[in-house]
Amino acid sequence: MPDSSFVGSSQKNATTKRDVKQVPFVELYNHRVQGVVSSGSDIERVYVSFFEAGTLDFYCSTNNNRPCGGLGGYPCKHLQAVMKEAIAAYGIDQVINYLKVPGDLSQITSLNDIINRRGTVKKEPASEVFSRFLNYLRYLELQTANSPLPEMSWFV
Amino acid sequence: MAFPGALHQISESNQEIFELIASLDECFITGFANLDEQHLQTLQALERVFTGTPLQSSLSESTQAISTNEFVDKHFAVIATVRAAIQGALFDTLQAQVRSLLGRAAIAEVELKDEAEEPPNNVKVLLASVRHWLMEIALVGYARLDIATLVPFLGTLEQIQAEPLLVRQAALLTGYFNELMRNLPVADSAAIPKYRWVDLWTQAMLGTVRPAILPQSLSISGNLEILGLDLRQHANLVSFTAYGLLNANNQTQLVRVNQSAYKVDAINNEQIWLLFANADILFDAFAQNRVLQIKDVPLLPNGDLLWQGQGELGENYNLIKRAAEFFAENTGHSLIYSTVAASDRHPIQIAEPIYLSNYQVVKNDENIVLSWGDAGELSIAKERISSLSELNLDIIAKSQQIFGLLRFDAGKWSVQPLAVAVKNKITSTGQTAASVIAKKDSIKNSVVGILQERSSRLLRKG
Ligand SMILES: [Zn+2]
Repeated sequence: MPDSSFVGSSQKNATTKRDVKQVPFVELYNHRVQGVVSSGSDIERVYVSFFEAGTLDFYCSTNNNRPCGGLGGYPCKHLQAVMKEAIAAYGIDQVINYLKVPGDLSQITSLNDIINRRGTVKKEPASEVFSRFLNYLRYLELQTANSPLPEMSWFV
Repeated sequence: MAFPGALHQISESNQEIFELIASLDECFITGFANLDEQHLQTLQALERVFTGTPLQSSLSESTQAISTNEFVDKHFAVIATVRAAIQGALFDTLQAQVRSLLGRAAIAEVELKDEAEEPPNNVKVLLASVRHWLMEIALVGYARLDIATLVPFLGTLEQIQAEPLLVRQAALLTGYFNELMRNLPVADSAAIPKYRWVDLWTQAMLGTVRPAILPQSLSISGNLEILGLDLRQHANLVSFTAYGLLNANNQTQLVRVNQSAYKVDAINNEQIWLLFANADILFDAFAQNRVLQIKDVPLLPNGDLLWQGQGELGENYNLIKRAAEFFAENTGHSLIYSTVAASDRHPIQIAEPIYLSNYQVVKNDENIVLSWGDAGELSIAKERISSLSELNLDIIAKSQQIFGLLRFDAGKWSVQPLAVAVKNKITSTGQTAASVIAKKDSIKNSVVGILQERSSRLLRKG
């Protein structure tokens, strides 16, 4: 018998509801969990935050590369929000897996379990994550079509 | 035994074809730069199969080149064409089989007249770089491929997404790219969905050699009755095909209306319909089972309407009754069928409309099966039912009548319901779209609205 054209699991959407208002963008990309958090006080400002896979080092800054004021030696509320949304979008197993969180995996079942295994502050420019975000938003502005797309038969 | 019992006999020659594809696909796992003796024998077997066909000489030239490590992208385009030709032949035999069992006449080939104009130069350049990228993937092989090989393609992909002439390539390449990025590098090459991934590669390669400009259309006016919607999506694009009966020029013909929208992964619930606000009249017509009167809409030779959102609501029609009239087994009603272009033929594209009734529902592990006792049975093609559809297995299990599409996958026939009747109540994919769009206030606080606001604030400043 030939194989199926479909893979069940990889196409399923995560079931938990996302909070896009607070965290418009989150992704697992380039060995990081990274995302963008809208500022509560200034609608022109966003925070750009990431955790690095393996070390769980982290950083948070504004889109203009100013360090986040809430960032001590501990992940700020933006970093926590990004992690929470990553879990909502991808499921905790995939996040733990992608981040290669150290330690006994059976003991890691919540957001706090991951945060408790954090690394240290790692200052890196926000521009790469921010441009990923702008690129993400660009999808909503792209022109679409009324012509047939038979290729979409592969994507359910 | 006729339909559906006789449907499930797969001929021996088809079995052999499936095996040939499977051994060709092994080359894509290993990578064409690392082929061993057995892989080379597969390529030779392929050459023998194509002896006497128009592809004979280019295939033999390509296998010769690849066997001697001379890697040029045109040879890989030939490999793609050959693999697609095999799938096309499968499509033809499977479609002929199902149509003859249903008492339907063979579909005549339609003639496609290409527009005289050439695609612009930037399109040719982009397609050439796609071909090159695809060759790289084929050379490395899925077992060894890592994301470093993929990432540089992102710039090309963005340009393709911005070029309306390349919307087919963009839809496919975006989904393929995402899927590879998510799954590479593979830990276990035995777990690679090789048939799927080589299919996606093949389709992408075909997209670089097929004309980028649509064939000539003719303008048509008439009454359209939508019978069902097939909804498909990946993280960055959602697309539906509406199947309908078009009554025009004293004839009835099966047509398709296609609409697509780019999106982001966070838009993954009923808000998807907000992306199709321009198609609201079609959703209204469908939700109310009223005819959509259309005027001067271009119709492609294969039966695709290039509809742009215009129309007026007309009289009511009875969806299930119309489906029964035209798509029951051995119905006498004649109809002009929509077709699949030769270069797109692949078993995955078989979508034979069918009306089913008088079945028993049998629950079977995680699926349900429609049974007609001695006359045979059909499973539900649940892999084709979108997670965004209003339909689910529970509703289907309670149904007495189904309008859907006969599908073929993994060597098996099944039915993808588009609309089902539970007593007199009809549930169908896309049925709630009109009401989602009508709640205009909801867009502001929807994911779509929030991201559009973020986009207008931040995008042009980035
Ligand atoms: Zn912060």
